[in-house]
Amino acid sequence: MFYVSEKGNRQVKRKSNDYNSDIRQYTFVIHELTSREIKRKYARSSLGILWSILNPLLYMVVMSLIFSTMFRRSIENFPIYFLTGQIFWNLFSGATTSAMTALVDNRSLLVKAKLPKQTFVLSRIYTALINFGYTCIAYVLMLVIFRIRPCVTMLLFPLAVLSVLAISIGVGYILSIIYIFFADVKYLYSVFLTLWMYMSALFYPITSLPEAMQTFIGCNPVYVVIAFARECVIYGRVPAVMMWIKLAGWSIGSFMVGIHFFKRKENQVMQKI
Amino acid sequence: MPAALLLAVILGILVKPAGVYAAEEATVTFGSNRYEKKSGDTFPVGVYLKAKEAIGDYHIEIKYDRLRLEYVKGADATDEAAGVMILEGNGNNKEVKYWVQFKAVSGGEAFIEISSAEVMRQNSEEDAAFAIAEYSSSPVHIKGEDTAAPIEAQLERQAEAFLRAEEAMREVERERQAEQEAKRKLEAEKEAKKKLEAEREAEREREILREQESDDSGNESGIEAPRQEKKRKNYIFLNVYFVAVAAVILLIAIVDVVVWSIIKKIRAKRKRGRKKRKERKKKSSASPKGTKRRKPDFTDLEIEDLSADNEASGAQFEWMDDERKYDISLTSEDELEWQLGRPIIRISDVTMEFRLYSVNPSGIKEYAVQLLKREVSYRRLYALYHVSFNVYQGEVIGIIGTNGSGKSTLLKIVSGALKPTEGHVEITGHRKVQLLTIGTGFDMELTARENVFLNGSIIGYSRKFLETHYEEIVEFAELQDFMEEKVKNFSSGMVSRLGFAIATAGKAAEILILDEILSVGDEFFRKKSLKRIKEMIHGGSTVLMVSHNMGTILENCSRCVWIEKGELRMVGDPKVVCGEYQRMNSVNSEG
Repeated sequence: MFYVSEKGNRQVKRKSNDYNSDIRQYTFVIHELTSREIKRKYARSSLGILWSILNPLLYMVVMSLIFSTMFRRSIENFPIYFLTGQIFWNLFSGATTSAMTALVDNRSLLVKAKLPKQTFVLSRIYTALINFGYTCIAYVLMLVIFRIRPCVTMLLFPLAVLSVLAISIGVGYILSIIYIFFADVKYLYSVFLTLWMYMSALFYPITSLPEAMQTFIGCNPVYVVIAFARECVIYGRVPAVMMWIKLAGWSIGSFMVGIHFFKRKENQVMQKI
Repeated sequence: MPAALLLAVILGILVKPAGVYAAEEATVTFGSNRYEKKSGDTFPVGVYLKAKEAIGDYHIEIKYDRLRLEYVKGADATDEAAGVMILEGNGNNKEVKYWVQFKAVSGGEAFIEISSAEVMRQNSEEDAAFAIAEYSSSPVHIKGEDTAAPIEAQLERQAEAFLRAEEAMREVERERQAEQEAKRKLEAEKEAKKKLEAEREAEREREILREQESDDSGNESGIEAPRQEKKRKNYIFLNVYFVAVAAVILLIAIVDVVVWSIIKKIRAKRKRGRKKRKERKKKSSASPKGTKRRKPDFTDLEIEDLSADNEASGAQFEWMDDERKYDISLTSEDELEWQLGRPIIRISDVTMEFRLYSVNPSGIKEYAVQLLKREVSYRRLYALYHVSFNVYQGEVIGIIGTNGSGKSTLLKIVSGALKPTEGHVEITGHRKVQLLTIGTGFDMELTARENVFLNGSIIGYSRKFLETHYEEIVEFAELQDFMEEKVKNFSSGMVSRLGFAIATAGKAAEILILDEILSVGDEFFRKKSLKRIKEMIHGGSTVLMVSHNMGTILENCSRCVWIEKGELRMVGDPKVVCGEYQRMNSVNSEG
């Protein structure tokens, strides 16, 4: 990776070529690392990847048993309402918690291999995304069972996924760096995640809260994503302008902040590890 | 007749009660209608209480002219100041008589009069009173000087004045009352207004609530909520949102500034430390520099000569000597450059610093406290300290040194996995650099096949390359029957064989970096791998290799670099450098 620019143009051309091949190489590495993660995750279970589908479904059943009578009047279709929130929450929390330990877990690789450190964090997030993909099978199944009419606005669903990914990458980058310097953040973050989950209106209608609380939760990026997805999938409406702005703001903002933070601290990481 | 009788009885019944109350039943009179007396006389006045039936309790008040008459005796009670005497008691008979004595004090017309009388019936179950037919009053003419008149006039005037004053007072009082009334009215009006407003407010709130309720229910049932309400909410939300965003931006800015300043300070400190060290170094290396000028053309031979000198000087090993050697070897680099052309790898002044935190902060709180106190203390460990040398096309460089002296760190830096804290590594042109280490990124839970792809990707092979060379790798590792087994079930020899096979698969890179790769597997496999490495070397690769096996170094390397405790000790012919290295080791073990 160390060049001396000898012969101007040729060098530059080469560079961009190399850059492309580097990117291809890194995506290959991410792919391999991700497949390792997934294989490892279900290495000892007999159902394997099927758990990615079953897990959210079982959660949905449990939560529906408990809460559907409670919110029968305010939520029309509780199982779907909950499942929509749940899958996005799982994607976010899974991606960020696993990304947090990515650098430390791959310590030996990090020191020996000539790979950008982002690769490891990204592979963890990619793993969560793959998991989300399997979960989506269950989601589509449920949509059919509960007779949610297919509509054009469902095409906006990938946008919600994309923005949740951007937010997760930003948060994951920051957490992975912090985790190297204080391991305690792992425990703190798990508590914080619990708080965050209750603040994301997964299984209750936001209208049942006082107005101040509603505006506060309205600023929660995960809630915004979930609300966006519910609007376009369950209710078949194009989300309000404000929601678009918030969605874009949060995803771009956290993504940029995460990358900036990571780049800044990258070298200190090598000294600490 | 009987009819007339009945009528009479009825009449009687009808008339009787009327007669009882209407008829004059009792009288209170004085003995005389008029009295003629002289001033100074004492005279009795008879008071007669007469009734049709027996008299029960009675109470008679008699008023008299207190200015002209003086009460002497005869009444049951008096109030002389007011000029009133009271006769009271129980009558028993139809008539009660009193003799009341007065004394005429002044001349003039005086009076005695009965102001009130209350006479009850005796033997009556009803508490009925007699109706008083007559309140008699009798004038008293008193001859003599009317001394009472002026007093009377005065009294009258006083009374009038009093009355007037009273009247005035009453007037004032009335006015005040009127004012108060007005005030009260005003207040009442105000209160009423307030009440009205409050009610209106309440009404409005109720309406809003109702609207919201209907809004909520509307949302639930999917009906669009009123637009205005939505707008208001949106507006509020916008405000809150902007405030929040502003706050977050501010926070980030503050944090950035703080972090930046801290980093700057730390950097400044480090620089100061380094400068000091450099100065010290310069002083100590001043004398060898002189020799360098005197002998400008060193060759490899001369290095050997020098080392021979060193051997002659005995087994003593001093730092000053060492310093000299280090410098001389550097001069020879210039010579090599002149001989071999541009270096492929130019390692200049590379320093790698690791931080070992002596007080490991166990938590964020502690870390914050320490940060505030500027007490985050750590021990700096220099894995490499100002190391510089060049590598030329086609060379095979062996790197030796005791454990933990920074050899592997150097290889990692050259391969680009690590970034040096200071100094830099230049690789001329863009050449493929490959660091071969064994078992990098092996995952014990995965199968050998999966590991080939995982490890290969990390080392830097593309998917295509791995797919085409897969069979070759398996064949070389001699693991044909085990590829679908999990690596955790492999023996360590099998793992390292697989690692070596992956690492050396395919065409060799232009720059090959081998980290202890040759001490792998059994004797048979070692020979095989050595053969492969030799092939690669002969294929024109420039090789950097680390080994503890002096035999391997001497056999394969064209030059040797000795790194000790992060510092470059010697660069030169393998025989010489290895000889020095072994001598130092023996000295160390003896001493």
